[in-house]
Parts: sequence; structure tokens; C-alpha cells
Amino acid sequence: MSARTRYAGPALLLPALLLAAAAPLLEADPLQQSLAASLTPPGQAWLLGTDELGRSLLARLAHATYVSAGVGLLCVAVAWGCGVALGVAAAWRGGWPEGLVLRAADTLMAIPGLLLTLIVAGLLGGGIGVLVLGIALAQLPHAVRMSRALAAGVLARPFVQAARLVGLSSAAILVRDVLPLVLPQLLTQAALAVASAVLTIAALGFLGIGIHPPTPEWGMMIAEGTPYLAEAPWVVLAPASLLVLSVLGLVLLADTPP
Amino acid sequence: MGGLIAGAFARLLQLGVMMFAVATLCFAALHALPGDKALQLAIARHGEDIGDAAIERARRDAGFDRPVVVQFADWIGGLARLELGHSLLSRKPVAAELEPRLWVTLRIGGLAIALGFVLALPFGLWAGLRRGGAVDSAVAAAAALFSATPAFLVGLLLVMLFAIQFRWLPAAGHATAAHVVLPIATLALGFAAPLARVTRQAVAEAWSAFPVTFGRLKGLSPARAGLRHGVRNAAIPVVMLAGLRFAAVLEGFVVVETLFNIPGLGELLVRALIARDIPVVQGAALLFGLIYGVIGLALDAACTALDPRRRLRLVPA
Repeated sequence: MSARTRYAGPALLLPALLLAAAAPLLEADPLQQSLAASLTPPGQAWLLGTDELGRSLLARLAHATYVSAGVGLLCVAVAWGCGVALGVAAAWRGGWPEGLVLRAADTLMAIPGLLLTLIVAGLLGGGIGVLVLGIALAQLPHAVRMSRALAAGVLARPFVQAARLVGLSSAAILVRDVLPLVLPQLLTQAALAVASAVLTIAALGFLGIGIHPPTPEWGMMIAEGTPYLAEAPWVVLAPASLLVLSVLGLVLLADTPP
Repeated sequence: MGGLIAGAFARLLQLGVMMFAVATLCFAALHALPGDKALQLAIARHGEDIGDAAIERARRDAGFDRPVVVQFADWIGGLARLELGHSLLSRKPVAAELEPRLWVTLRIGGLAIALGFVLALPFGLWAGLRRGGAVDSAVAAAAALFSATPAFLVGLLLVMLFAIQFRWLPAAGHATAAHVVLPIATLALGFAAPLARVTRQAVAEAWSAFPVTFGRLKGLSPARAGLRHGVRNAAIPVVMLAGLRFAAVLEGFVVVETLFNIPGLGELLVRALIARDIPVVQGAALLFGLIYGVIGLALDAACTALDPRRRLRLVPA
């Protein structure tokens, strides 16, 4: 990784971070319609133009960024919090509980992740809580497998055996010896998981399953702009470019050595 | 061989447990639907003008008066006999709804995956043999860009270019062969980008590894040494990744069929979810799971066939 690409990840994330930070400061209401100004091109009155209902695209985009980032982080916190706890505990305990946890994780992976999220979120009726549950369920097996493999590698090393011989408690060994070694790699995976969660939220928003309108969300904004692609491409291009930049930024960030 | 059969058995068991979970979720969702199902059934049979007797008869006929546990056992038992029930919307058997759509999805998916290989393998091979060259940089950039661009955006950009700007191809529908060009291209590009990158990596490693060096030492030309000793070693990671990416292609169906308005399985699943037509949701989900499971099994077999170390259990499966 050269010095040139080192800052590429954070730089690509900057537009989304600025927008999310500006969201509470913006005066324009993302739900305020002005039908007379429907599909106004970007310009003086509206910095990024308006959508088909004459809502400010800048305000919608800022709030959508807030929603995507928040929900994405929440999904990863839930999935990886539970997954790392389960994975490390399984590696520590060994034997049949470890086998059981791993088989359960494999079973969750027997259906492609997006389909699992789609079915869970769709059947349970949508909304943010259900969406988080669906995405977390799809990410959980990866978190479990990854953290178990990393923890098992550390637990086999001599200093852990030494710590056991000295008589340290399991909690102390896990917190002092195991976690510091596995956390950096897990954080890399978590950055990729946020990227994948953001993509899933957008895909479900695009399909109309997930976060309910009129709460703005990137995928939903893209779907709403699709019928006006010929006359008002900016309605689609603004959320689309923000989505691609942010996900690319997260992927590059995960690639960057600390 | 023993390892392959044990692996296949484990896969089938996991698939079975997952399908049971999906069926349970669907059963629960069906029972949580508002409204008296016996009344709905009676109206479907006799029209709006019905008495209490007709409703009670419908309730008994459909078994809605039995305990929930018995109804659940009946639901799962029906699945075991491949009875998927009837659509709540069209009243047609779920199997009849699924069947024509399965062929649409399989045809588009098969063509997309074939096109993906045709795109990925030559570029990946070229990039791997000429590392640091222009093709290598282009493959790396394309793989990074496509990893961040969801299928619905790739599709939308293709529509903007080829349907709106140049007016070469129709934007949506499924009437003629021209209609499926953009959906197939969308799925194929998303499949090809990571595949080209892994092909590049696999070729670079296999060509600098011992077998190809040995081929050169015994007097083969670089091309022949690569063909005889490189291709097979490079193929293993490519096949494994292709298998992993099949999941992404399956997920892509849901989005791409909805975007292009193609009457396939994915579009059916999304429509049924939005309309809460739960028997159809269950049927489509189980069928997707089955396709994924079969692909996984085929992949295990392909990797074992390609890699003698796996057959001889020299590496863990």
C-alpha cells in the first residue's frame, strides 16, 4: 500500500461524513414537498436540485446518509458483538459446544445472505429493527467463524499455556492475551462488514422492503428516481455516487494497514 | 471419496435444517396475518353471500379448527411430500407459479455466468502473465469498482447508456432476445470483475510455482509449460471463487429481475414479499436454497476432481 493510496479510503468517505455531520444543521426539511419545483436541476435555489415531489435532494441525501451510516453501524455492532463473543467462547471451550456453534453458523450460511435478510425483513414486515435483525443474522455466521479461527490460533500459542499454568482466570486470559491479538484483524473485517451492510440496506431500499418511506434512504431514493432517469438523471446520480464512494472508501480503509 | 460423501451429507443436512427454519418462519408469518382465514376461504368458494355454516365448513375442511401444533406438523408434512400449497393471490398451486419462472431465471443466470467466464478468464490470464501492465491495472480497478457498486446501480448505468442515451436496447421487459441483453450484462459484469482478479492472482502464483519451472527445465516452451503445469493449479482457486460468487449471482437475480421487470423467480419473491403472499414466498425461498445447495455440492465435486491432494486427503477439505 503506497502513500498515495493510504489516504484514499478516508478521502472517499469524506463526502458522506460531511453530509451526515451537516444533516442536523440543514434548514431544508427532507420531507417538505413543493410540487411546483418538481425535478428542478441542480442550481442556485436547490444546490443538488429536487426530486419528483419537489423535495430538496441535498436535505434528503444528508438525512439518508445519517440513516445508512447509523443502521449499517448498528447491524455490524449487533452481529459482530454477538459473533465475536460466541466465536471466542467456542474456541475457548472446545469440544461439542464448539462443534455445535460452528454447525449452526454453517447452517445459517446455507442460504445466500441477501436472500436471508430479504426473507426475514420481508416476512416480519420491514422497518429499521427488523432490517437490523435480518442483516445481523446474515453476518453473524461470518463473525463467528472468523473470530473462532483467530482465537483458536492464539489459544494454541505457548504464552496462553503459560498463563494457564500460572493460574490466571479464563476471563483474564481472554481479555489480556487473546483479545488484543485478534481485535485488529476483526476490526478490518468489521469495516468490510459495514460496507456490506450499507450495500444490503440500499438493495432492500431499492426493492421497497426495509426502511419505510418517506424516511430517506439511498437505495429508496435511487428507486424513486428511476422513472425520471431520462429527464432528471441527478435524482439517481447523487445518491448513487455517494453510495459507491462510501462503500469503496470503506473497502480501501479495510485494506489499509494500521 | 469418503470425505466428499461426508461433506455432501453435511451440506444436505444444513440445507434441510435451513429449509425447516424458513418453513417455520413462513408458517408463523401466515398465522400472524390479520383476518379470519376461514372467512376468506369461504368467500373465495361461494362469493360474498355466505352464511355461518359455510364459514364453519370451510374452517373444518382447511383444518383451521385444529390445534396450531397439528397444523404445523401438517404444513411441514406437506412440504416433505413436495406440496407447496396455493398462492393467496392467484389461488393457483405454488408449483405452477414457480415452474415457468424457474426456467426464465435459470436461462438468464446460465447465460450471465457463461458470459462472466468469457470476460474474466482472458483478462485475468493476461493480467497474471503481464503483471504491472495496463490490463493488470484495468482488472484491479474494475474489480475494486464493482465490489463497491451494487447490481441495481450497474443495471441503471447500463440503462442510462444503452437504452436512454444511445437507444440501442429496450430498458425493461422480457419480450424479445434484445430485452435480456442488459440484465445478462449486469449480472455478468458483477460476476466477472472479482473472478478476473482471482484468475490474475492464481495465474501469477501457478506460473511462478515449482511445476511450471520444472516444465521449463525439462525443455518445454513457456506456453507449453504453462498449459501443462500451470492451468490446472490456477484453476482450483478460480473454481472455488466462482462457486462463492454464485451466491452473489443468485442475490443479483432478485434485484436485476425487479429492475428490468423480468418474470423470474427473484421478481416473484419480491412481489410475493410485498403482497405478503406467504406460500409463494416459501416456495421461491426454498427453491433458491435448493439451487444454492446443488451448486455447492457440484462445486465440492469439481474441486475434488481438479485437486488430487484433496482426493488423497493431503490437504484438509
